[in-house]
Amino acid sequence: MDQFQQKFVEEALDNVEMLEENLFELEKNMDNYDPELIQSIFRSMHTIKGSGMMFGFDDLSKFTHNFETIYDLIRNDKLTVTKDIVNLSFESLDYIRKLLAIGEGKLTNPDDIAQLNEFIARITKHFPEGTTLTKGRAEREAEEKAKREAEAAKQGPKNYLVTIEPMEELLENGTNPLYTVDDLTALGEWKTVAFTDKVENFTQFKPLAMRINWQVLLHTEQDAINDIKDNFIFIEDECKVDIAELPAGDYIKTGSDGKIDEMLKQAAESGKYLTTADFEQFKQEPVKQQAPEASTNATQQATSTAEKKDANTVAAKKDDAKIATMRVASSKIDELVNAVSELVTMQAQLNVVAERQGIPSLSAIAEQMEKTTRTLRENAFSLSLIPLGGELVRFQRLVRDLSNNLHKQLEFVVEGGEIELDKNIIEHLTDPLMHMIRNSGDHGIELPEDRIAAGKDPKGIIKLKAFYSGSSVIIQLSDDGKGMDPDKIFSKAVEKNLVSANAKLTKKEILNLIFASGFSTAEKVSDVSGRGVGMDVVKSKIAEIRGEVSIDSEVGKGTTFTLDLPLTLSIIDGLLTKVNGEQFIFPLSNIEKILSPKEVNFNNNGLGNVFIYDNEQISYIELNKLFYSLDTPIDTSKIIMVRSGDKHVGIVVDLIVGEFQIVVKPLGNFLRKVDMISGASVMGDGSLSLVIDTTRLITYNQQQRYRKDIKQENKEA
Amino acid sequence: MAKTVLIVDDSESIREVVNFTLQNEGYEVLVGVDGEDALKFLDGRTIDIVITDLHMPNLDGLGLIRKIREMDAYKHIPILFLTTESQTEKKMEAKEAGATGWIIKPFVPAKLLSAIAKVVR
Amino acid sequence: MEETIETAATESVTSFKVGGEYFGFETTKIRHILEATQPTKVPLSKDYILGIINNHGNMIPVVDLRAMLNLPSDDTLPETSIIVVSIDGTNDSYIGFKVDEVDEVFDYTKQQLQQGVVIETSNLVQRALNSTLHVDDKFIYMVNLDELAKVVEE
Repeated sequence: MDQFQQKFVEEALDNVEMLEENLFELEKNMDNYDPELIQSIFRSMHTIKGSGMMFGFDDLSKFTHNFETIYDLIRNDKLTVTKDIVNLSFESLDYIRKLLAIGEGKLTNPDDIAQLNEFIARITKHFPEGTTLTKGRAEREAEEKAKREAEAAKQGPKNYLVTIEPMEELLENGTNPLYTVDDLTALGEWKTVAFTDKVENFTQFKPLAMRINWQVLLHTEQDAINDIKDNFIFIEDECKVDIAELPAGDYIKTGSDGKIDEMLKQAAESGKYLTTADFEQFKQEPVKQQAPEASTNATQQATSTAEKKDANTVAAKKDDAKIATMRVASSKIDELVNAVSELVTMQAQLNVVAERQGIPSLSAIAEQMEKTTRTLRENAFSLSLIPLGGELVRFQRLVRDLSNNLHKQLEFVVEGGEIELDKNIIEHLTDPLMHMIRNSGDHGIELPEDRIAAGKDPKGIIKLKAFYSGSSVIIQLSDDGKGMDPDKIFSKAVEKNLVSANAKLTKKEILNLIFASGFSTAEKVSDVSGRGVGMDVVKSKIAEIRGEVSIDSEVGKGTTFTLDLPLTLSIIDGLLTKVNGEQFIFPLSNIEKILSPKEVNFNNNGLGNVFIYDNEQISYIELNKLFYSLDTPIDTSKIIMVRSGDKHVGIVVDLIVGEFQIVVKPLGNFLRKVDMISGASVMGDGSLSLVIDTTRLITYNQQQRYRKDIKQENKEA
Repeated sequence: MAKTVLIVDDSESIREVVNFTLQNEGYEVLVGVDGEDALKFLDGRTIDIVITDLHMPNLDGLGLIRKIREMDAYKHIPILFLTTESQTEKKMEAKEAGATGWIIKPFVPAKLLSAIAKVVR
Repeated sequence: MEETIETAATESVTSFKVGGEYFGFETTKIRHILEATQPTKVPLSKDYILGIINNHGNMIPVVDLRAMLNLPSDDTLPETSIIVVSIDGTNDSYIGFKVDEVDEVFDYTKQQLQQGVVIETSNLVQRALNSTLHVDDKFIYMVNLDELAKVVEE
């Protein structure tokens, strides 16, 4: 596939996506749609068809041509939109995607070709009687060409007298008849005569009124009647053209000693057209070839001088021709972002060096550079932001297919499709969201009869809402289905040994158990929700992009999943801390507060790792203990308060160094198990610090605690 | 001297292939993504020819042709439109709107160039 | 047919010493050989993972082969090196091995390999050893890096 074809496929897929969106719209308002919708559908298909032909996707074009005809009929009120047509259209889109996926766009397997023709037959079935089916253009052209060549070959050299009588308005549409005459003369040997007698004298001259007629005497080696006609294709309605075949003979090469020229001159002077009869006498007499009309030459010269002037103007204005948007390979943006990330790291190093050297001029440069680096960073990152909306069609389609497969009435509602996210985040988001939507459709929303029995609208709503919140993007996916029963979840979790039967958990904590690994190895695997993928995978996928997922559910009312996502991945503002001499960074966006141990109350009545602050019981994690099994006194430490769901957790570190802008680098495959550390960052002095994923740190800590509890109980029992 | 061509098409691939072909032939090329977008180039600068698609969002080809014909600076420049076979009605409409000629899709570069040569030299 | 091709082909091995024994890595998987530096420790990781180092902006975990072989750790000497390999060619699969000394790079043919090696004591590397090479009085344990990577990843 060449680069143009590749571009075509990309673009066609965009068009298909747009078509899909429009079809959804059409499906919603089948009886009362906006006519522009049909226009837009038609346009998208037309573009696919037209470009498909250009780039050799013949089968695709053939298919789309028929598909397009449906919408052409609809917009001309010759066909009404029905559920059948909409369904067929959705199917057609899938088929177009399939055709786009085949390398060079041509089907070779006979079964595939049969399938194509069958599909086309299903489409044409909808055409009302009397719709004329146009033959494929390639087919028709080949036929015509063959016919023409066969005819032309039969006959020998020909002579024509072409009379051209343009209408007065010809020039107004940008036509230059001289070019037409010129093209005509390219077909063989020629002589022309221009009839200028109708041109007004100078004082009355109307430059835009076409008042010159021509006659062209043409000698061709074979029949050229079609070529001559083709020449007038653009102006056939604005020109009277008469093509007369002259008696056999060679009027130009062997014309009689200037007699032809003389005759032409006379014609021009008298304003009387030559006729076939005038040529009878010269049949065999030789004529010398003659230069083209002087007047033609002069006109051409004048034009070309004018052109030169114009061209200069063009050069001066060339800079204005800016393109508003352009498409860039996403790998290039990745490269740019990587380079900028490196630059940010190097900038930090430069700052350290400048500070150490204490040279004012160096410090000034470092400071200036820091500003530029920041601007560059912001620009580079804004480039990798794309609106969430692009993915929504896939979800919409999923919901549509789910309704059909599950015999439920589902509606997908979107709010905030314009919200922009880092494309790497969006890439990681699609699968988890698809999974959650499938779950909502499959397990959340009830069958219509059950909904009616429960006093609900038979139609269930799955809603996706996105909005900005501080430095994050929140995506809420909610359904108005049957909700989740905490008692059932709890007993299942106990059964699976994920939690002690005696544990006292809040409703929220119970609901969060569905994210525990090993929870949703569902005993009953439905077709739709698929096998083996549980909410734990969803959670870990979201955590990979440093997002958090939480759940809220009300029995009988529905379930809401909330995703809290960062705007961008690789550069964060972080708080540098030290624990046991090692450097750790906490993303600033996770931090609510920093407390000194003096500000909190450790008098916790033997509750374990809990302190009281602001009347709230807050559990805390001592990193010295968790990471290095060290028991260090807390009193000189610092407590970093982070939010976990709707609760606070304190993380105890030895000391706080300060705030830094850092580039997070992944740790690779071999440290994946240590997931509470999401990456590392090179500091200004070249040292490395580890970036803490607070959500996972808290989860890890909780798991350790549950495990301890279970062990304890087993011992007691 | 190089002629300036304004190409207008909502299909990026067509724009690219046309742009590529014309630049290789030494034309100066301006590119508009639809009729509305193309208008910004029609600011009085010299444009030797406009090649436009008919089906486009915002402002379609017919609309663009009509607009161009209303502008003093471009009243009489050649305008070719891109069309697929079977659109005889469209052809008539476009001609009435003021188009000079048309290029039938699909086209190979040579065909594109010869169509342009019919109206601009 | 394939056999003839196979026997004729030579492959390259890079040999190194750990605890007095010679081991070999496929040379094609080696990306860098670095002077041993002090890695940054990663808490809660396996004991034999010394930590991570920064190599041109990539974070590379460093494994102590001595520890994997149940050998006592040794002082870092001028010869001590970190051999950085990429298991599957991607950046994410970079991993460094700390070895006592890098020995040499040479070619061998498959026929020179002897199958079925047993090192007396059981250790974490054993699974990745299934052939040896006998060259110039040296007995080189060939390390299957894919297997070794699995041990580290598990």
